[in-house]
Amino acid sequence: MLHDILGWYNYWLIAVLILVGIYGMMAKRNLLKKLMGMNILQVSIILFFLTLSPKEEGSMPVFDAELASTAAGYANPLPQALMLTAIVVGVATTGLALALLVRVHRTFGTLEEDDIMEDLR
Amino acid sequence: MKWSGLIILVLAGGLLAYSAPDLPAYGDPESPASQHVSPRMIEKGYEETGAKNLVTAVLVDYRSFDTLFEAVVILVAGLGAALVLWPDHRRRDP
Amino acid sequence: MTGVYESPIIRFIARVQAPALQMFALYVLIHGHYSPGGAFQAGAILAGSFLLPRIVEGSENGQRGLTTRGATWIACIGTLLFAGTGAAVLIMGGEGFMDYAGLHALPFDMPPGGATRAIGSLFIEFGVAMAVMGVMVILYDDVLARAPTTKE
Repeated sequence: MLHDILGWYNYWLIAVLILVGIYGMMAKRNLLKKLMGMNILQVSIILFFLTLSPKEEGSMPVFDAELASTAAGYANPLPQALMLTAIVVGVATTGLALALLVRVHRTFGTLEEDDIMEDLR
Repeated sequence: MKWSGLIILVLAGGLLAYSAPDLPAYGDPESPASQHVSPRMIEKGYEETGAKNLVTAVLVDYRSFDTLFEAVVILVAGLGAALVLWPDHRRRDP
Repeated sequence: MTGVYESPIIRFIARVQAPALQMFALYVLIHGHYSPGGAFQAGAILAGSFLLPRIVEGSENGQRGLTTRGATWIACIGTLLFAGTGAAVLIMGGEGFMDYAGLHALPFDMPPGGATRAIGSLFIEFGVAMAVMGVMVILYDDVLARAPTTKE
């Protein structure tokens, strides 16, 4: 039982981050806080992919002539490459979302969801 | 709203906790993610692409199509952000 | 929104540090084939070197090095360089889109095997770095700097 809990500690931490992100997106009434929740969720997914990458006895995925060229000798480069692009896309989409929020704030004067809904009504 | 959110949160947490033990342990060299194409990329990466950094090899050679459209995505996001805020800017200094 | 720092020390440090950041970005970009690093990181560092004057001297004066319009052009040209390299190696006789083996058709002595592909992918990394740098500068300028400080 204890091994079940401690042996997967990385997944538990990621699960906590996912729940924090979902809570932020669901329960907060401020659009900026919702965006922050989305970013936390995104970071948790990135961490989840990265935690699949390393191997025991494996070095970082840079080819070294002194190491044997076996798959077990290096960390898996595929999730790292995928998440490198995911981080940059995340920054760009966050920037787009912030631009939209600036626009919303100029139009309604607030970012609180309830006030915006009242204005729309 | 708060209570329905809490219920959804507990359900999601239970689902995550239920599925966590099926995932590979940390640092497992036999994990499914390290089985399919990544051994080939590691063993042949340097000699096929000339890049010692295997992440770069994957990024710009094996999956360069992926990277191309990722660059397009960030370009479109940047131009979209510029377009969203453009009219105010033009009105401010004519 | 973005404060203007009057302190001469901060201005001097920023002015000295920006070229050093650009050199470092070039190193990270070109050495990315052999050590940790690569195009995305280099683009982010390069964007940092252009955002430094904007942060320190205010977004109007900080446009000296690279205007928002210039950054937009650079981002578009970078993406075009990426796609153009892929199309060019296809036309030169590669097996498919972005098969860098097509570079062997060039009238130069190309190194055998993987090294040629590394040369091809260097062009692509330049394109990615330009795109990332341009987009970061665009985002900063649009989201932060252009926001009116006074209510209309």
